[in-house]
Amino acid sequence: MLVRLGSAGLAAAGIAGGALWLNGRPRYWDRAPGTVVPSFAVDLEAGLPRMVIGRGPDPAVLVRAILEEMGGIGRFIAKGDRVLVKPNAAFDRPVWQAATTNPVVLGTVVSECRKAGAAEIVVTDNPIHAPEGCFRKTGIAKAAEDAGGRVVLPDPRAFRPVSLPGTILDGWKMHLGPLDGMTKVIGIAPVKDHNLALASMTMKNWYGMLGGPRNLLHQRLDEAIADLGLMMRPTLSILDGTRILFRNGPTGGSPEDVKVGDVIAASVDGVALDAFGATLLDLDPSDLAYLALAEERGVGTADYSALSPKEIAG
Amino acid sequence: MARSLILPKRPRRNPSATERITGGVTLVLTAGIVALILSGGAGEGPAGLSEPPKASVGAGAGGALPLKSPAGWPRGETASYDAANVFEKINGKADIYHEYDFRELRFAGYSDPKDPSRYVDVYVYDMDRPRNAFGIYRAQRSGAERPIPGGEEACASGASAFARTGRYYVEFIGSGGDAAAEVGALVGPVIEALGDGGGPAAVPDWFPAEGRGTVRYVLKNALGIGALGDAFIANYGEEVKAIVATCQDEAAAEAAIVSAVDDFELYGTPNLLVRFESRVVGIVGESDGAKAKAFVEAILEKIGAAK
Repeated sequence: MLVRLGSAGLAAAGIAGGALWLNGRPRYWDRAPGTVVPSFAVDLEAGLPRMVIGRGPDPAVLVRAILEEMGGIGRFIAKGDRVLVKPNAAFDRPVWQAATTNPVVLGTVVSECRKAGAAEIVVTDNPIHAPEGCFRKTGIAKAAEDAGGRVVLPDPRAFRPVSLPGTILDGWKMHLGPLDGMTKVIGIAPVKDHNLALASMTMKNWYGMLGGPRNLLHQRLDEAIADLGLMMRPTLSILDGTRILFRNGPTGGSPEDVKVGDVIAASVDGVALDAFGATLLDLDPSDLAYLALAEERGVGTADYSALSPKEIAG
Repeated sequence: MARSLILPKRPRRNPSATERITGGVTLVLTAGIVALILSGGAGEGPAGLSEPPKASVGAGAGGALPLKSPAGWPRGETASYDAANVFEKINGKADIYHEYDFRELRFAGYSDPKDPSRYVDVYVYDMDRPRNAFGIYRAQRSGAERPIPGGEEACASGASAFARTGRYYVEFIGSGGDAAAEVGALVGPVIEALGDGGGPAAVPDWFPAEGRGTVRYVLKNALGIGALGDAFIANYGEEVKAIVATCQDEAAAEAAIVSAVDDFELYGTPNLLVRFESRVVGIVGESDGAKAKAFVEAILEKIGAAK
C-alpha cells in the first residue's frame, strides 16, 4: 500500500508541477490561426449618396431623415438580417457628458433596423470596467432594449485572436463572439476630443472590441485605429454629433467641456466620416494621423468632399 | 541461469479504504488543476503581453469616504485603481494623470435609494504631491465653472463639481440636474474625510498680476518642450505665456534653454528665456522685445524677493 500511496503522491506532484509550468502559457487554442472578420459592407447602388450630413435639434428625426436620404434603411438592412450595433459605451458616465453615444440616436437606429425586418439586433461594446454600469448609466441599455435590441455584455469566452493585414493588431484578442452569425454591422460613435488620438469618432469606436491590456497600444494608437479600419468593414457608420465633447476627452466631466452640435452624419466610409467629424472639433482632417494611415491602407478616403456628401436639415 | 523477465502475475485484490480515499482525492485534484489551466490561460496580446493587476473592488476601496451622502444616499460601489490599471476606469484619459505622477484613484458611487437613476459618482485622485493636484485641477478647468467652497479650490457646473485638497484632486459627477444639489452637498464631507492630504499646494506669486489669466502647473513637457518640467505657467491673453521651470541644476537649466530656444525658433515663436540659478525664466509669444525684457525682469525681481 505504501508503494501505491507513493505512486499516487508522485502523480499528484507531477500534475501540480505541470500545471505550474503551463500556467500563464498560451492556451492551445490561442495558437490557432486568428479569426478573419468578414466584410459587412453592402453593394452600393449608383446614384445613392455614400455620405449624408444632417443638422437639426431632434436626434430621432435627424436619424430617420438621414437614413431616408441614404436610400432608406432597406438599402442596408434586409428582412431576416441579424444586426450588430456598436455604440460607444466605454465609460460609466451620464449622457450629458457626451463621452458616449447618445441613447436617442442609438435607440432610433435599432428601431429602424427592427422596422426593416431584422431578425435580431445585438447592441454590444467592451467597456473595460463594469460593463453593466456603463450600459446603464449611459442610458444605452434602456434605449436599446426599449427599441427592440438585445444588449450583450462582454464575456471572457467571446474574445478570440483576430487575423488582419495590419501592423499592430494581428493576433490581438478581440470581442468577436457577438459577431458570430451576424449579417450586418452598424457603428455609432460620438464626436469627442481625445487626449492621445486628438479625436475619437467612428474608427476609434472599434477600439471597444479590443480585449487585453489595450493601454499598451496607446503609444501606437494611430496605427491601432488604422488596423481596426482594416478589421471592420461595417455596413454603415454613424457619427453622433448631437453633443460634442470638445475638451478634456475622452471622458470630459464638466458641462463646460460639451457643446451642442445638433449634427449627425452617416456614411459607408468611416474614414470620410471621421474627416468630416474633425471639422466639428475645429481640427483639420490632416491633424488626425490615423486618417492618413487608414487611407494609405485603402480603408477609405480622408477627403470627405470627394464623396459629395448630401447635407440635409432635420 | 537467466532470470525470467516476466513477473509472476499477482492476484488482484480489493483496494483498501485509504487507497480509495487517496485515489479519489488525486482524481478530484487532477480535475481541478485541469479546469484551472483551461480557465486561466495566458496574457491577452499576441506579443505575450501580460494583464495588469485588477482593480481592487469592495468596501476597503472606498477608504475614508463617507458612508452616506448628506441626503442619506448610501455609498454603493467602490473601487480603487493604481497606476497600472487606472486605464480600466478612465481609459485614454489615464495618460494625462500619469503625466502628473498619479498614484491612486478611489471611486465611490452614491445613489438615491428611492430612485437609483439619481446618483453621484466620486473620483478621488491621489496625485502624490499637492502641486500635482493643483496642476491636474487647473489643466481641466475651462474657467467657466463657478467657484464654490471646498478644500483649497473648488468649482461646479451643472451636475458636476471639482475640488482639490492637498495631494487629492476630486471629481463629483451627478446623473443629471436632479442630482446637482447632492453633488454640491457631497463636496464638503468628502474633502473633510480626505484630510489635509499633505498640506496646501505652494503656488508661488511670481507672475505680474496685470493681464494675467490662469496660472497652471505642468510637471512634464511644459509648453511642449521635453526639457522643461516642474513649471508654473501664466497666460497673458491667447498667445503670450510666462514660464518659470525648475531644473535639476544650473547645467540642466542651461541645456533646457538651448533646447527650448531651438524648438521655438523652428516654429518662429518669439521667446526670451534666461537662467536664474537652476530655473528657466521666460516669456513666449511676446513679439515686442522691450515688453518681453521688462516682463522677464519683473518675474526675476519677484523670484529674488521671494528668496
